[in-house]
Amino acid sequence: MTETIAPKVAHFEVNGEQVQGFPEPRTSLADFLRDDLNLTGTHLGCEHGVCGACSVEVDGQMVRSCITLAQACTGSRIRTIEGYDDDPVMAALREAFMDHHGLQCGFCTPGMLIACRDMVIRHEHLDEKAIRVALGGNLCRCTGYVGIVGAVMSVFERRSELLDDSAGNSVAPALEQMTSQPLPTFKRTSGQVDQVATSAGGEDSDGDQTLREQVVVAKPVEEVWQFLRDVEKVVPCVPGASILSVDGEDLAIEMEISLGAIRVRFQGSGRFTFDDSNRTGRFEGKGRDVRSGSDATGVMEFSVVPGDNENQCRINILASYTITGALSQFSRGGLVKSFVGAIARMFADNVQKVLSGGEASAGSTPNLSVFQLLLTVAKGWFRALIGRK
Amino acid sequence: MNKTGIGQRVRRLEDPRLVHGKSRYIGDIKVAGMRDVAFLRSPLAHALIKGVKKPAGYENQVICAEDLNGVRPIRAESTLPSFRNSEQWPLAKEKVRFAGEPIVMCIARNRAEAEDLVELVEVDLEALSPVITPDQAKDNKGDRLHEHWPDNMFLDFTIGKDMPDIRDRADVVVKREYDTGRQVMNPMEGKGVVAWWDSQAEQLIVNTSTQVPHLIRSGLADCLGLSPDLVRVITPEVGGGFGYKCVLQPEEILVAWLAYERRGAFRWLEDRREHLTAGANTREHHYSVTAYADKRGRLLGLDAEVTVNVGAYSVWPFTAGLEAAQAGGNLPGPYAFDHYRCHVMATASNKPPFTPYRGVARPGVCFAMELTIDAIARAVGREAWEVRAENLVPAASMPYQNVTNKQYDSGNYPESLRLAKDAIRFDEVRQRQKTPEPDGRLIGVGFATFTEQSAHGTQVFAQWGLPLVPGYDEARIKLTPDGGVEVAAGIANIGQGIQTTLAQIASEILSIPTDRIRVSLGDTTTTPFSTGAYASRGIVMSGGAVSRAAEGLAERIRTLAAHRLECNASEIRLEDGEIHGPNGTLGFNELAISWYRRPDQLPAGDGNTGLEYTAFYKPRVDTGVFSYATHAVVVSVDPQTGKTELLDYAITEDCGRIVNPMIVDGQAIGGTAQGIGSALYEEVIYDERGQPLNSTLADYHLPGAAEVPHIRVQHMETLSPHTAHGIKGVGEGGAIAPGGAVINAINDALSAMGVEISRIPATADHVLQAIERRKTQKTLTSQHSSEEQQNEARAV
Amino acid sequence: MKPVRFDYVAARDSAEAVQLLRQHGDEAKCIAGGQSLGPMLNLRLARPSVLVDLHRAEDLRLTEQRSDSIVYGSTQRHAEFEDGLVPDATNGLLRTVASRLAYRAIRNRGTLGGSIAHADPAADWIGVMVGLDATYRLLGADGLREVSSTEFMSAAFMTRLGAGEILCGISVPRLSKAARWGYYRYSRKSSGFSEATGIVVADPERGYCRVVLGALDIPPVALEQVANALAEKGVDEAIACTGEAVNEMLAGYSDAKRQLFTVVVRRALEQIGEKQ
Repeated sequence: MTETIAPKVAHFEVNGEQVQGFPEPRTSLADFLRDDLNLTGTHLGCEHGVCGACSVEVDGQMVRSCITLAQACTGSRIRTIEGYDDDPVMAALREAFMDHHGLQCGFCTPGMLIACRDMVIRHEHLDEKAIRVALGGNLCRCTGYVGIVGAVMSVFERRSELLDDSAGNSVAPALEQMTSQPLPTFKRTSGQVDQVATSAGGEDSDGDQTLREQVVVAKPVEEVWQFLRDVEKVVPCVPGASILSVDGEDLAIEMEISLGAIRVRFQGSGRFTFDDSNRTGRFEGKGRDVRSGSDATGVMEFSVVPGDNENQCRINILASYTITGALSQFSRGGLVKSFVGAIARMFADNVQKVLSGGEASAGSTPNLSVFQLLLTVAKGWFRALIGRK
Repeated sequence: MNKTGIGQRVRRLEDPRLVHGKSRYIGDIKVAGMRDVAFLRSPLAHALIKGVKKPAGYENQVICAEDLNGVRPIRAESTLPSFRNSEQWPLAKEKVRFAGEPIVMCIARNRAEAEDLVELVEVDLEALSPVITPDQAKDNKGDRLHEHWPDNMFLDFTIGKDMPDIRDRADVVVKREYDTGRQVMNPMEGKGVVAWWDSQAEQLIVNTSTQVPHLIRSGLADCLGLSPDLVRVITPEVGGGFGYKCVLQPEEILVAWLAYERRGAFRWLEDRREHLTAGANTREHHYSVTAYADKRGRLLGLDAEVTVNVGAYSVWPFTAGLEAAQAGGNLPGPYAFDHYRCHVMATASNKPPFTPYRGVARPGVCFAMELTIDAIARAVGREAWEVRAENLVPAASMPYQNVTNKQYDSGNYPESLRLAKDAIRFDEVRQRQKTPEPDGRLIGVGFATFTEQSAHGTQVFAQWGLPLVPGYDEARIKLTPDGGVEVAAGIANIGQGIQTTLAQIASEILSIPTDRIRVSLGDTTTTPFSTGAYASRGIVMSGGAVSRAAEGLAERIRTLAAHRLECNASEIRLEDGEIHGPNGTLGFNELAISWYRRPDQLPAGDGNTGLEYTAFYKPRVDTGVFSYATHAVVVSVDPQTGKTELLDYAITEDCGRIVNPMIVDGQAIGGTAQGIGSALYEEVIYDERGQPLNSTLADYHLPGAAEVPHIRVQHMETLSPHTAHGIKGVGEGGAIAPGGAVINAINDALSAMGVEISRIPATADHVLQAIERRKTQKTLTSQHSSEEQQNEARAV
Repeated sequence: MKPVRFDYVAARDSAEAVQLLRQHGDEAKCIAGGQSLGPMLNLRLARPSVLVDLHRAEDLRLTEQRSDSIVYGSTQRHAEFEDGLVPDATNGLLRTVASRLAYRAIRNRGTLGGSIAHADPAADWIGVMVGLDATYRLLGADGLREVSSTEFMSAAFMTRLGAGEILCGISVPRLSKAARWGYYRYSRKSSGFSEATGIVVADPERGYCRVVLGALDIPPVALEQVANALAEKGVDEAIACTGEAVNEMLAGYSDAKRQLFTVVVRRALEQIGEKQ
């Protein structure tokens, strides 16, 4: 398969015992605990950091062990649900969970207990509503939370018996209030923003996978058209795209696209057709990213029209695309069109640069495709998963 | 008094191991040499498989359909009229019919390496046009899913007759369309299977996270072409079921096949992405309802069309027909009226196969019916609760046979509504609504009343035409040498607390405390037959069997004790954990010793019936017993954001005799939380190519603690005349009503704006769009409300 | 759902991190808290050959207090802001934002710089930092440079962070005692990601005022006329002109979306009003 990466030694203190292990770099803390140490009370519910079933403590702080690499924890003190037998708060919570029916199938319970303990230790008191909000990172599908919340409330009532705050439990200080003077009116001398020319074109409405963009190039219309007709020159102006081979009108193309941490390589074929009489063209392409098993197809129609003066022209682009497979399976957000302006500007920059005798550059954002084939990936899903790094 | 018997709020026997993280779920099972599998799943919803290219050197670790010698497809035929059957090959053969369908199985040392291997396999697919919506299926325009069918309909039939007289007579006609979103059940533990060949027992051992171990044995044996005695199915701790784990899954067949074929140990653990995409399999209903009523809102007749979009294949054993057929049969709900017609359709589509989810059909049915009742109330200008109360089957009519021949066995439906109305402080809410809220939110109150047919019996399942009809449940019970009890039942423990409640039933009869009662469940070798935990049947069926078995054992104990205590068996009482006779008292352990160690103490001639007893049970009337409840909810809707908050939630429910009030509350509340998910948050969105767009829990919104209110439950306790102890089932009910109750409350809140919501989930987006649409409408056409367009009020 | 194979190297300080990035080139990826990258690794959407871990680089955890600003180290964790363990230049805005971000377990591990470098338009910090007019310090092989938060992000997930550069510090101007802020985020679930955020910062002593829309699908958008109205005419005037300003700025969006963004800005403005 792929070449092996030598495992590295890592040292931990796990539930009070010194442990040495050789987790692969890619192995999560959860998998290491479960598979290598047989601490199977740490459960994997989602493996993307949402459900909380895998919560453990690392150096006294609750973390998600499914999205924490074992190697990143070397040297740390780790405590799992199996490691609380002498803890009075955990003992009280366990009793309360059993009394209040705070569990049914028990799968979320270890993570839930660890989250509840963290809550009780960090706060002197929380009311029901605050407890519910604080439990937001731990999903339970069985109980409807009523028993869990009741259990936590009952333990808060006993908190002073269980904990001595002077003994170093870190209770977070309350948020200080803002200053209380009324806001006077004043002369605005700073903070002004020159709005970046942004194509805040609007959201990607459901099912609409068609993108329209217009870019201005400071070159005469005919010069630009002739350039666009030369596929071997124009394709490299598309950030991330390169031609593998040309056979008449048929091209073999590779497009490597980076989007945040995502990187995908589509390989496929495409075909350009041109109509010189009205300076319009059409590109059809399809490709596959073998590794993710995702397919993309796209059609781009473009036309070059005169600009406001003879040394300027506009390229109109109408692109539509489909993506299937793992890369497409996230909620639709409105991010797609956010890219259009940026990419089209980069494309236009590159066209202009090349026409002026320079070289197309990947710009500050390498590997983006003008066909937007991958942009559906960057949908709402990112917001939840990535918006909290 | 028996402190651990029926009716006692005892702690669960399951809990101590669970709060310590010390139980054993499917993913915790380790077997030496075990290999993990990962699947290459179809990226396309509908396509022909033109070829599979295995990576060189890994041919033996990469399995495709052609390699599965001896494996038969899943065939779940229904005898319902018009039903068309499908064949599902565990690995897709020639064709894929939903995005996520397994095509290739890869085997490696661990899951990560199995996934590495998946990436090296090349599959050549030729896309076909996908069928996504029910309308596309009905239009029959896309490619056909199953080539030998004439169209894309699994089911298409009509029950009941046209009602021209009612149409003429009705003062009010209300027409509505309703939709419920497609959902994923999301037990916190995914599905999983660990299988190996036991060469000592010469048996295939299949550990699987299932609700129905005995059924899975039958299904596996069928699909693997093995004699059932070669297959042992064991249920580990199950991290939630909800229906997802009550059908035979292709992955179960594949891992079992591998273990059998290669005589090794293999494992598949479903991950959340697989669950959210390939398991998006439930509750996509569409209703078109015409209700006829008199001027007081009394229902005269209901003419309806129900379509369930069931996906690509018929699941075994519940089939692709059950949901729609049950929807058609259950739509009339708890209401008394005489004229009903329903056109029932189940459409095939390029989505995962439909699996019955907690509540099965009734959450959709209840949503449609309860919104219709409220719509009628608005049309006649009365309070919805009054119209509802007048339409419910009155207590005096019990037992009642409804318009679809359901036998409602007992209860007082209107009383549950009245109690819920009081609990929610209805009059205070109406008072509060008179003054605008300072923050601009709108307050609304809503109700939903429903029946929960539980423990549907043999006749009912036979009517639905299942390939496997459940009948008697069995239980075995044994007095151990130390005076404890062992209970064995074939049902699975899936979090519902059945270990505890079965022990409580045994305790009730034997007077032995539950901490001396060991309950084993869910193993086809060590526990007697049960079709499993589904359809709110466990406590009725398995509980009934345990009750019978305990009675049998008690009888046996009395016989033996009578000899020791020198009295008649009829004089022996089992109380307080001891055996009492008129002349003395005996510990259970002392009695047990007679059998196990001192047979010389047994009466002469005794000896062929030990201290073990097996019993078989089904209720006397086996058309199901009907639990029922009313849910009442107060909501606030922020008209500026569309966001709904649940301010108060009260349930009045009647599940007959309560075995453990804590567990009954837990079922009602937990079900309600899932129902709130259906009502406000959860939906799998598909794009027009059939790609599911919710492959993570960040896209698919499960309710968290802050989304679920404090839910209050009060009980009525009308014993069923048909079951042991008068028990009725309770597992599903909570999930049935929230859609109806919450949306009725939202519509109450929005009534002044003339906005009416008719689909779930009523996400904030959806509500805000409805409000914004209404604003636009108002500016365009000044008068006609949508309601006025839909309601046809007639002069009397 | 397990990641692809990769190698893992922990950098001891920022200079080593830059050196490691240069050494491993294109296929290397930085990780700090890993709370965003972790899921993407598990889903195999991120496929680095080498992960360069910044969370052990001590110099990236330092806070530098200056007279007019505080420079936060990029790997300071959200929970450290929430718990008041680092000085807050903003009279509580940073603490408030941190305390509402995702879940505690995520806040314990996730970092300020990681979130910003990721440039998810819906991430909380990226909009707040524009509201505060923060400046980012980027370290690369050619040394240190500064980029304004208003220019850092060019589109969703696209920033001016060059190949081989790391975000090493975030400089936040100090708000005066008289300064006021409002922060309102709308999400479907209480702990969900924001779907619309309104951020208002007004500091009369510095003559500073900014009103920002966050959680769009594009970089944060400043509402200049609302900021002018707030500074020069007060909260009520600012609220009154918000709808028009949002409609103009988000012309391509649906009515419902524009409505939502108007509401969050108004509610952020109302917070300033309430505290008078």
